[in-house]
Amino acid sequence: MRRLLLATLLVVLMAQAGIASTILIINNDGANEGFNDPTPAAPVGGNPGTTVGAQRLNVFQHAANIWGGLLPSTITIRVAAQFNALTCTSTSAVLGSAGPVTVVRDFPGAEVPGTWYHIALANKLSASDLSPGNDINATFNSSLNGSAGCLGGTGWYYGFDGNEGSNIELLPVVLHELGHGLGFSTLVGSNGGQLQGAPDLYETFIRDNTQNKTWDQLTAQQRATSAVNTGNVVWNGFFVGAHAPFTLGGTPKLYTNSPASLPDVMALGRASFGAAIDETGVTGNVVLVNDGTGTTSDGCEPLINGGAISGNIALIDRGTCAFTLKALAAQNAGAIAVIIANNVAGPANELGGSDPSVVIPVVSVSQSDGNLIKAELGGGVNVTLALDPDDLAGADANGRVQLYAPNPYESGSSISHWDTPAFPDLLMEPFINDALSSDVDLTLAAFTDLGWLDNLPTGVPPGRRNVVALSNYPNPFNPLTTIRYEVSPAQDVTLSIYDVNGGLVRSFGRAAKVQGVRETQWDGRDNRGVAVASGVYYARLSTPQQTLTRKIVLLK
Amino acid sequence: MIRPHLPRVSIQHLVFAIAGLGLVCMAGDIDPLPPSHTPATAPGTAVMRARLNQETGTIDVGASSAAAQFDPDTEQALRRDAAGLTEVRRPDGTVLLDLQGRFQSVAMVHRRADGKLLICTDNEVRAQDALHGDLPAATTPEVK
Repeated sequence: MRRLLLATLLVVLMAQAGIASTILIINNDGANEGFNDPTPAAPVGGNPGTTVGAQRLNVFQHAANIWGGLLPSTITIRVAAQFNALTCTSTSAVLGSAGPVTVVRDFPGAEVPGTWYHIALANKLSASDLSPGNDINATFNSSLNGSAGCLGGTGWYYGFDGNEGSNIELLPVVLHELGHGLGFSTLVGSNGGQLQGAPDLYETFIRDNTQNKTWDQLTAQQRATSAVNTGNVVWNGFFVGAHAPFTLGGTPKLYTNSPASLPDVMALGRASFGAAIDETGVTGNVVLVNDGTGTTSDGCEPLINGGAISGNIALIDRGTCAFTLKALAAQNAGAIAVIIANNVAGPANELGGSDPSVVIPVVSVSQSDGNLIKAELGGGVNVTLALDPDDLAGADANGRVQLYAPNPYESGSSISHWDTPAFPDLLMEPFINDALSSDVDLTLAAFTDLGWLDNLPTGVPPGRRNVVALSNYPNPFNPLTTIRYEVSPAQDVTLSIYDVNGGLVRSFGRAAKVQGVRETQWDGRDNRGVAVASGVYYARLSTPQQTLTRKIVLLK
Repeated sequence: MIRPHLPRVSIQHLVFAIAGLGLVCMAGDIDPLPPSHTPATAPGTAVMRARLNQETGTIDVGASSAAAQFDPDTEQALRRDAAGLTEVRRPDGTVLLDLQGRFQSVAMVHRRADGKLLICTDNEVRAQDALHGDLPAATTPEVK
């Protein structure tokens, strides 16, 4: 719900502010091919095109409009797009590719010197077309047209409504790949080397928690090592950190109420079916199922202890039958939730499968935790299954969102993606979720860190907004800038200055019951009175309900 | 079909390029060579492939079926070397670099018994893995 509110708020605010850029799809295809394919097609899923080519073009422009509605630029962004016959076998295919046509550094308006920028962002920051021509390449596969030799006849789905069935919806793939072309990608090679020996902007936001440095501060060897430092490589930007709590969900955990001999907290695996677990959670006594056959605790045959299960949390061993069948059997017996204990060593596993008729929460525990619980069942075990809202799924202990760094390398390995534990799924994860076709989620915050936007309000519903303005002048400044804000109704506010890594630079303290317009001057000095270096800083104004940020540039 | 003009490199050129690898690596440059940059081949044609083994420093050359090859567009998109790229420097200090279709991210799909899996990568070896269905089991949760 928070995510929906945030998305709604952003759309409203962007529309009110008139923030937008024009992203043009440049049709690079020849006659009767690709975007010009004249094959008749019936309008589908909101796509009004009446030929295959027109529908393809509509999808591209739809994705371009989504990004264009969010990213401000006075310079038109040109996407050179084409459909070509790319690789396709009976089981695998290239869907398409995208990336910047040109990269540029040390241009007028560059906020970080000596650093490669994707051309579309550089054009925006310099307010000029630094490299007239196309800004993004996008080449997609025309072979996915239903022919039997390619993926057994699987084809593109050109609707906007997510009803792709067994086909592949084009929109989320284009939206994802354009995200890379707009700036969500590094230019670092797989050996850790930098392009022409210079860092790229994305790289400056990649932080290795083990080495305590960002990638631009590492050697090539250290970057290569970092690329497989699973769970310890994070996005080090202010806005992503600020927005993560409004985008990512908490982590489901098992809290033991009794007996005291059990660990207080156990890790849980999520299920792709059943009810979501919230922060309130489900509390109940744990009862091991018994189906009276073979492994009696696997719940694959009709339960014979349904009476004991009713009103309680069913514990079921993994094995023999599908997770959905186990959950359904427990639900039918009256269980209020299901815990499936892994039957192999390792962590609590994710539970796959789909069955809309399962409406109670379903989770898993590791084999070892399952054994601990079983050992105490004789005396009674009472637990709560709930989300820990402070342990964000896909973020480190400091709330910094993790980047994809699997060890060993896996297919899809690329640091230019969020990590897979992120929940809910994010647009820029390496495993593209074809249900994500309109929400760019945390990537907009990353683009704000990269410089596409000056600030990004956090996700408070409009009806609850209290702070109505935050600005500063002059900006850029030297040596003094005035930070102006307006608050209504009266409330406590805290104003601070942070650097681009989220480090506190200057605190102006907390003011009680502020109402109306207030101004505070910042002299470019930190809390110790030391003049800070030229660069980008963020003014952060917090109230009990909301946090606003504004980018401030100190130029000496 | 209108394609951007992309430089093509023969296997002989690749061998010469490999000879200069040491210098490129010492310069701290990006990937030292096109990992498997081959000319376009007709479908079903067996081709020779050359690739620097990053762990041993040796060059692996061998035959593989054309089914293991990417089309020329994708080969180029997955390149992450700077060979032949030329910086343009302007009087105001601006430096531009045309990537010639390299440094792109590539989306792929693989079908398997439990459904289709869409991935995105910018690494040629990882893309080859995906093409052959060498995918991490953890990406699709098991159903029982």
